[in-house]
Amino acid sequence: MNGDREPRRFPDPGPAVWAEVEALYRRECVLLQAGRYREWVGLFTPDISYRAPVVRVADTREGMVAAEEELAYYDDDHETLTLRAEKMSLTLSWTEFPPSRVRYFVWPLEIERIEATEIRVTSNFLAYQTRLDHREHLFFGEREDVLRMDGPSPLVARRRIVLDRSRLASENISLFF
Amino acid sequence: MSREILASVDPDNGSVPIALFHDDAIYQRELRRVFATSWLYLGHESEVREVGDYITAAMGEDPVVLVRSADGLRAFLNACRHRGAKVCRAEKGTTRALRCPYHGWTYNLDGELFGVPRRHTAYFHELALDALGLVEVAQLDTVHGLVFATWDAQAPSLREYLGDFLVYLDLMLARSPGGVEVIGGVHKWSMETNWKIPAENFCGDQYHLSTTHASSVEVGLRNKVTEHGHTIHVEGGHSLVRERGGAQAGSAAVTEYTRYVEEVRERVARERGAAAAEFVPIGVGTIFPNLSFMDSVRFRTLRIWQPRGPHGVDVSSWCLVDAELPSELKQAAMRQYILSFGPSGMFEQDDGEIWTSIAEATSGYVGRQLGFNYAMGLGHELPVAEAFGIDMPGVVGESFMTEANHRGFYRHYKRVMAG
Ligand code: FES
Ligand SMILES: [Fe+2]
Repeated sequence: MNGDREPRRFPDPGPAVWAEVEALYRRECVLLQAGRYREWVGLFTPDISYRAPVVRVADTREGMVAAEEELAYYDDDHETLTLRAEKMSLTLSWTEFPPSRVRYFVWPLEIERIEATEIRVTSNFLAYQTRLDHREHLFFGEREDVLRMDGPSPLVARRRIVLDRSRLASENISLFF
Repeated sequence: MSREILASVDPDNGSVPIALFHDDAIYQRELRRVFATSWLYLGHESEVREVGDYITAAMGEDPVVLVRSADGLRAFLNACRHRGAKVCRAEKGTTRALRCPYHGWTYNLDGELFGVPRRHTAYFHELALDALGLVEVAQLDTVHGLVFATWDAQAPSLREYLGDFLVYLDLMLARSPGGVEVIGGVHKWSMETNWKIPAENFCGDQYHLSTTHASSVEVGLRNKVTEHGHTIHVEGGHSLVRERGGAQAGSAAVTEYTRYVEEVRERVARERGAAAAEFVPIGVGTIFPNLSFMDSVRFRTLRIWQPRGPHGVDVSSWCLVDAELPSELKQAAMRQYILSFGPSGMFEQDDGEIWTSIAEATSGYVGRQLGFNYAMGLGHELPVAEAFGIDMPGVVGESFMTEANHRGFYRHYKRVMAG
């Protein structure tokens, strides 16, 4: 990830799946922008692996993104993601009280069918956050999802988020990506 | 002006002037008096295991590179002697020599300049290479694999510098036979606040837990804070706070690591007695000036607060584990650390939020004339040995919630700044 995205190796699943994925991502943006974290957790499968590995300044591309067993900003399963969502929903969670104003932009998407019921979606994202009187943070990055397609609507079963920035410019991360 | 500000640093009467957190002259003096004379943390030996391994770090605002040469660990100012280009630009790596990317001067792992392009044709063989080695720290030493260095050749040894705090560091870092190691890399982020705000918080600010971290307490990530524990400081500005039962005990998302810590506690109790076992895990603390730690029942972290101007801090934070742990337990500790600390940690995210607001709220003209209040528990401090009848150094607050440790920090700070 992080720039050396593989060209498509699996088949394009066709326009119906594209429409479903875009609907899922639209819904996700709406929920996150509104701070509806508890509903947002409902977009993930019970066996979700939600990770955002740290990025380091390394001499080679291979060394830039922390490996699976290394440090991340998020390394959550369903239990801890729910805990985070619950915490962020409380009024005494100072990072979102008063609430931030947030915009998410997820584009472009690349969608591949990797299994009969699983597709992989790779995308770039930009999250703009402003809070209190004038605080502003920008988070640019890349996201790779594995979506499970065997239910009434797609669910995220695996998410990898790679923020481009190495030393984060913000005093905290209170956003989900 | 900075003399007046320093004169009004009065921890013994519970007051520290707010200007100390804003004033430029004070800040410049800190870089000289505090950061160029104290022992500062660079990294852990486990990050530079083999000859040629290096990591980049900072001492105050000075970037340094810590490298393992055949002779051992060495640390240099990360700036070429020719025109000052950064010699090591990655945050870690392995190399045979340090080659400057600007004009190609090349230094060996001991910092000696041995390669100068066009040494004959452009310098006529007249350049004295021996005088142009990388600038090395004055002293470097380790304790339990933690690498410290100082720019001050006159500074006391690292062991003298840590003084009475060594006893507590031993309890935190030498409780398992294989020692400790850093795993997974570094969390790095920046905050707009003064470096002393997080440093003094980690000295032992139990008082903020119930409000700053109310939401994390409510979801069960830690229990409500009680009145039971020890808030201890020693000479030299070092301090720690130990909560009975261990920091970060809670009902949600508990892992096997917590059980492991209990086993260690039982073993330490058998080997060294109940008093020592009370310090497993040891809790939260700051080693003067800017190295803080948290050793909890869920994970252990080290972090430094690098000053970046009066209103800026670069944080680097690591997860530290007992080296002998099986990898599943190391992973459990790291995941718990990420869940609670680091920029996205459910605890630390709220700290960052509040700390940045301090800089904002007090930087006006009127704000700067005032003082912060450190009166909690003033006059209610006694020697640890007397309070608990155990042979341990330092001074403890009569009650668990106290600003005794903050006062110890600023007392030492004032001494250093005056010198
Ligand atoms: S600055 Fe390093 S060689 Fe010129
Ligand atoms: Fe805190």
